[in-house]
Amino acid sequence: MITNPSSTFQQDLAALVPNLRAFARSLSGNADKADDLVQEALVKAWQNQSSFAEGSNLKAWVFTILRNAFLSERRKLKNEVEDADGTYANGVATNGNQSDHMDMLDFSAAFQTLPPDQREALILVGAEGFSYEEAALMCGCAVGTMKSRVNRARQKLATLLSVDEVL
Amino acid sequence: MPGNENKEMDKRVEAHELENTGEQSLPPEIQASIGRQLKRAYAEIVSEPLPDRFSKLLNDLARSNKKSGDDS
Repeated sequence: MITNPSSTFQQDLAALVPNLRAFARSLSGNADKADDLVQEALVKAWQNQSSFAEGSNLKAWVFTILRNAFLSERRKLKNEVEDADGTYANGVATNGNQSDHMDMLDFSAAFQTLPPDQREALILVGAEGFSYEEAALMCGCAVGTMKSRVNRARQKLATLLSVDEVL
Repeated sequence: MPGNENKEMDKRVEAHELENTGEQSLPPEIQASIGRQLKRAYAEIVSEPLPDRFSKLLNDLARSNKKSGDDS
């Protein structure tokens, strides 16, 4: 029986698609753009499959590819859009000072008010279960920076969602 | 339960490390509540039905590999 290594690679990639979509959605906040990012990441992963170290973490590898695609897209946009007041650079909506308690805000809406680096950190560590070390490696930052981003994201969500009242 | 003790230990270590960076960490119950909500919201997206485009794309990629230089 001939085993085709690329067919299992294909299956492994296919199995990651739901998580890639969720990760992309949390980065971009837009479902259509997120799926375009997933498409781009899959193509790049496929083209670079020879550089994937067999036995290492495929999910971390493809997530990193998707992340890089997202960042380069954002850099391109930033160059195109005149960002006079810096709102774009500061993320979708950094309205943390508006109110300490936004009772009607649901979790996803609160999540989208976080700066992109904090959203990413919280997803990788809190939802995907990567270790701080893995997440730091994927994002090219220090482990302490990753811990601090996750912590600040949690702090802000706790404030926005008034978690203390829910308990 | 030793597993839980380890987790508690991790939390204390984490809190201590954050103290060193001058940041506060949240009470464990609040942190757990946020964790649950995060996982729930994320799982909702993960479990959404998949559009066909991704399996189609992967099949196309596999096929184009076979066409150009099938050395197996």
